[in-house]
Amino acid sequence: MPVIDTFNGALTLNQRVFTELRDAPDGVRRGFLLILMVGLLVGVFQSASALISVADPARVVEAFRFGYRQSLEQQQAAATTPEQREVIRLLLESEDELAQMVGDILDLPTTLPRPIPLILEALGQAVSTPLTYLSGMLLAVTLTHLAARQLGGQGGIRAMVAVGSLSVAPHALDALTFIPVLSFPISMIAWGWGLIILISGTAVVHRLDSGKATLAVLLYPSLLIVLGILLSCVLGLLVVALAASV
Amino acid sequence: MESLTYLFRLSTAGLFLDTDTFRSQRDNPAALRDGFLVVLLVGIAVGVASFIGSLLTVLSSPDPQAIFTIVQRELERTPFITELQRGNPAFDLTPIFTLLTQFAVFLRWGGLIDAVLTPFLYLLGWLIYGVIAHLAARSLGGEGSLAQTLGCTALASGANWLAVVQIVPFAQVAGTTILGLIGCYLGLRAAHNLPAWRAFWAALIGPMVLVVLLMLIGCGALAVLVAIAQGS
Repeated sequence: MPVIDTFNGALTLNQRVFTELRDAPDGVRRGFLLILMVGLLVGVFQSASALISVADPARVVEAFRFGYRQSLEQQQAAATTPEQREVIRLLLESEDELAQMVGDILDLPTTLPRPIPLILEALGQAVSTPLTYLSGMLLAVTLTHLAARQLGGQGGIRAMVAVGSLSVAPHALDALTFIPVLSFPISMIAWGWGLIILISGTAVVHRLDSGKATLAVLLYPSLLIVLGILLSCVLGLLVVALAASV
Repeated sequence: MESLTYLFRLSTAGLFLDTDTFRSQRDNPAALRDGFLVVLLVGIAVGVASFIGSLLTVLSSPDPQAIFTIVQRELERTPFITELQRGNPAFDLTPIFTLLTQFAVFLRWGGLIDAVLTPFLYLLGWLIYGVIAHLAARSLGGEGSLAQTLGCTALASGANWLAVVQIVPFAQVAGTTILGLIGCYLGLRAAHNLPAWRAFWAALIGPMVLVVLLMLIGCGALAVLVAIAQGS
């Protein structure tokens, strides 16, 4: 089956595609090929967008000024003591020097002539994107597989990786995240759609009903989030206790 | 000496989690030798790619010393730092920036040194992990020999083919650890005929011990730092 058909089948939750990929001896290779295709598509769009914005150093400096001022103004609104306000005032007054610093660094020469480093950086970002998706998918699939086996699932990890790769397909939408207003909604749609594909894939691989498959997908991420919150609370208390003792 | 094509096919079995190849590797009388050559092949390929990528990164980046000179000069002009220096005339950024520059210069060329060391580090990691996983698998009822364990877990190093992407400067590698661990799980399962959960624990005991050790070392270092801070 060509990769584009696998891609379409994943997006439309075509059960035949899921079953075929689960049973195919080369399912993992085909799944990775899909991730490569989606990742490169997104990577090329995002790196081209980044390349356009960094090609003009004046725009980079302006963007830095805007972000710096916005961040400090937010902190100024949240400041509660006169000392905090004084520090933020001094930092706001330092904007010109810091912008000058960014501009001077951008003007520094490199051994390779000017446009080549920018192009190489964009290329690096483009080829890294499939690996970022792969890494996220592997983590999600491993945690889901563990939970699914505990819930009585019968599938193997190889089939789970193959079918789990399909959950990356909706992230092709991430290619449009360079449009500022659409960035967040598009990311959320891609994430939600991917989650539905992963639940559907888990049900197919482990022969579970959709309720158990949903539980398998969400169980460990939920536990990790709760554990993360608890750990950050404990860490916060420790820091406060340390600060009080020093 | 096995042909490169054969070794390449073996290593991609680890990348694409081909369970049949893991099983045939268990029954391969030269499993250990082939495994060694697979890890070496992947290590050399990643090392060469990483060397080229690191070199291009160095050529594409400005001199870190020049960057830190600009940062220090502009920071010293900011009202924030001048105010700090007015309150505390002894306050000086020079020692901090000297240290940062030395560290950045080391990191700049450190990538090239890392690239040269890659095949040796892969071989060392494979041997250490293989021995620990073998002991764990045997204690969990595994039947395989050490040669079979090493031969099968060597295929998992095929996950490191992903790291060849480092030939492109500024590229970030991701996913090799999890994919490698899944490969090790399949390798241990094949080598020792273990049930799924026992193979899972055998594959994870080594990394878990490492994480616990690192956490203990981290906590120890933090305790020493706190003690020094309280003492001074």
